Amino acid sequence: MLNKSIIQDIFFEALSSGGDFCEVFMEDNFSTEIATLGGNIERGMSGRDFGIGIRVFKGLSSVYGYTNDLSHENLINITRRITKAFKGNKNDIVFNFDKNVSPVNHPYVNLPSTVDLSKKVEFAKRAYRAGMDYDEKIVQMTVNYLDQEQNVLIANTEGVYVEDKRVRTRMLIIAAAEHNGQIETGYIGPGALMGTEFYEKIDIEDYAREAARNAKTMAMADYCPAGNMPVVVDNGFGGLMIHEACGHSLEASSVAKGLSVFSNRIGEKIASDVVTLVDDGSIVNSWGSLGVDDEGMRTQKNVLIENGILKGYMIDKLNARRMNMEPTASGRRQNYRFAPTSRMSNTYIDNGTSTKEEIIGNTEKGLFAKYISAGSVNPATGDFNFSLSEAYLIENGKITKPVKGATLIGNGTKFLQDIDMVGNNLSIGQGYCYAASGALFIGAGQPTLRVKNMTVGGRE
Amino acid sequence: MNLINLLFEKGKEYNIEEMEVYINKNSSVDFNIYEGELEKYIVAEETGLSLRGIYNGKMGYSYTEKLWEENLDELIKNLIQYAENNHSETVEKIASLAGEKSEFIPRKNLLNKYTEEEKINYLLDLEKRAYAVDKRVKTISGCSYSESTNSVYIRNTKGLELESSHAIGMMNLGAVAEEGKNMQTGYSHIVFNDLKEEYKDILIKDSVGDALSMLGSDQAESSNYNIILRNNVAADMFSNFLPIFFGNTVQKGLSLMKGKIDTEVAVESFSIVEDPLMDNGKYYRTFDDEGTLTSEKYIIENGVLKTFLYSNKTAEKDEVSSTGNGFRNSHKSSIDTMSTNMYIKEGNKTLEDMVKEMENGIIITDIDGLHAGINPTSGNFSLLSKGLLVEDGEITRPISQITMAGNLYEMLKNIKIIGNDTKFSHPSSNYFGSPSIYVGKLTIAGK
Repeated sequence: MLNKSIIQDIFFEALSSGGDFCEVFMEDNFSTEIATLGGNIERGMSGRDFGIGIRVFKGLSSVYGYTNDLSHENLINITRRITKAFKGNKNDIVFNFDKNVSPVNHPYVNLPSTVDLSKKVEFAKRAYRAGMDYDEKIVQMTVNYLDQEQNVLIANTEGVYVEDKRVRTRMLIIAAAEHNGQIETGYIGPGALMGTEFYEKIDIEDYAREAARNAKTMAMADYCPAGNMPVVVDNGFGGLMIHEACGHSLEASSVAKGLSVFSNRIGEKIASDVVTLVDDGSIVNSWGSLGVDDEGMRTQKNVLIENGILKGYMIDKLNARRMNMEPTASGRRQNYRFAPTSRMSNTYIDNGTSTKEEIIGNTEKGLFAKYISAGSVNPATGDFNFSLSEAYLIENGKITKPVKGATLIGNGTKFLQDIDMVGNNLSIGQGYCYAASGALFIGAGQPTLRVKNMTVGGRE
Repeated sequence: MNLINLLFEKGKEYNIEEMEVYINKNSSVDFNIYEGELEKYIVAEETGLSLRGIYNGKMGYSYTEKLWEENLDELIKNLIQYAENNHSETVEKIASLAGEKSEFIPRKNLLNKYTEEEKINYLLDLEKRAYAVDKRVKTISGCSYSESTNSVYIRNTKGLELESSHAIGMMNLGAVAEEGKNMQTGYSHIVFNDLKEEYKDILIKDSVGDALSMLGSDQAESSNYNIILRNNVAADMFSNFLPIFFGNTVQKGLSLMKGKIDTEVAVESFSIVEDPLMDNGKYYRTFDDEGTLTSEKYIIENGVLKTFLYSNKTAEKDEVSSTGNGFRNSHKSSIDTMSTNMYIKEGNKTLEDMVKEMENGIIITDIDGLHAGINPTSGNFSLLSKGLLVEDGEITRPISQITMAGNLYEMLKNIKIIGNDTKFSHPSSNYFGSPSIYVGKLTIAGK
């Protein structure tokens, strides 16, 4: 990685024209990302991402430069280019790298760069075979395999000099089923912040059969009826609903400028009593975790909502200045090409006291959302939407027939008040989140819960 | 370039038969204005290298951003591992130059005319004017400018050597309007290669105009309505359905366009064109990433499906020629099918004419959830939408919190009128232009 004297030269240049803070983020990342179809590699490759991002603040202004030419001359030149907009005097700060940060330990065994590609392809093939063998309606299995060995160095003028090694892997298993000429897909994506030993800890075949079952069920399903109804969302990645409905609106990137429906509302009751919401980037080996965040702060558990009361936001360094609050280890970025901003890590609704059976049994007529595929939100209005990849009707307190093509829409403020039952079976699923600082690995989780009224969009 | 010679030499020592490098360079400046101040300023200089080559008769791929001599072994070893695990039946080939080598004439970069200070002042003025439109403009939440020069260099051991470079600018404007407790947003963007004064009005009208016009919006009754997809909505929607015209999607059986070449798939007034050298396009390419010359062409002409888009590999499967659509997304991706600049041919009606002819229905002005709410395979879509209610030929009130659902394949055959007001989709996905389209009836879920 970069030696301290070059970093000091960058800092010196950065603060020579009025800048008051400088940070260097260096990344050397080996990764494999392949898509397999029918058990064969279809796309993708292995390779190395390598570069540096330099960020300088002056008050609330932030400038950023990134490059993968690490020559001393180029780094100083980039620093000079980004800071030329600042007009001011040299800031005398002594850079001594004396702040001790110890990253949360996420143990790993097999580093992706040391595992032959044939082993990785074999993991994908196992999923392919198990899925195809599940049922004759399964016409295709696409399996995407991903791993990363991301080495980062983060240093700043406040004395931080910390390295973090993020080792992670995930498999995305997509099954396609055909019934009467209609093709529907089902998918599942187990992943973790650890090496390829992850695949010895999980049952790949079981996951593949689950994706296949999902696809087959949907291929044979009728269209979802449109209208307003209670919705029961199952545990696990169903947590993406709260991620969209209120998670993004609690990120400092929208809160700081007063652009969130939850700006300036700490201490207020914003959700029903049964809702406790947490963002925790320190959960050991969890997909959305890190040792330190991408601003060099040890990751931690942040309680956002407790029994319906707004307790805190997710805050990065720059927005902390605007808000006069402390950062919460929520500064994240996809890679050195992005300046970090406040983002979610593993976000979940904590356990309540109901059982799943009670929740469904108490719902006379409604929709049961087993799997959510994806969603999005407009933080200023709080309007959100997401699509279901597996859903069923609830009739007389029982789950009945499967339905497809459902989109759920709602508004964050009303939605939080409308959660009226929370189960006791919390689990966290794995996915991605796309926003200002790039695509990030996130966990989203919850117990089974009920929203008493939502608008369901469909074709019938 | 010494590094490439060294790489090709080293590759031979590892018994790699043919090799090709693809080098992607990007140099860019981005900045944004917030409340009269330069808030963010970003500079980038980056280079990525992708290598592909034939090892034991199979193609292998690898990439690196660490363009150092001591990293070449890892690059080659990654390629070999890929080739050893490549059991694909179709063998990809490395091309020698097809036909006469034409000199690449880069498009003049008209953005160089302006100093950086002039560009920043342009944006400061844009923000100021956006605030001045109406007292109900609460915040200009995004006012940003970006300019990038992208270059592609391809060289292989069969004598092919090509280079291409293109500079584009892009601006975004996001507005938040507030009245009482109601907040609404509007958003606009534009891609350009010259910074014209008139773009300010267009950006302001589209973003501030939408935020203001949506204030006080409410749900509509659930029902089937006549629907006009406004230009921006039609562009974003079609942009996401484009893969159904890609050879690889068709070959995998994931497009219902399969087997429909030379048959009617849409109404007669409907045509889709691809133009790799379009004015103000996101792309400007005379050859694709496999060295095939690109060309302007109809995908659908007067309602009839004319061709799919092909790379070398997918063309060979269908026994046709590549259409010059074999591109890489970046140095980290292998050759895939991609479209360049595409658009729906305009008709001659204005949006106002269309509203009068529709009489009763909804103009959809914004859609959300495109990454999950559409299914290109079946053509089904169900999307969170906003719009304007039309009664007796007049716009009566704004509508939000509704979903619009339908099927693309059915919609193409029900189109009533195509407008004359083309807008392009956000350039982060397939770059696609469309005028407003009166598409007939779709299902709306609301109250």
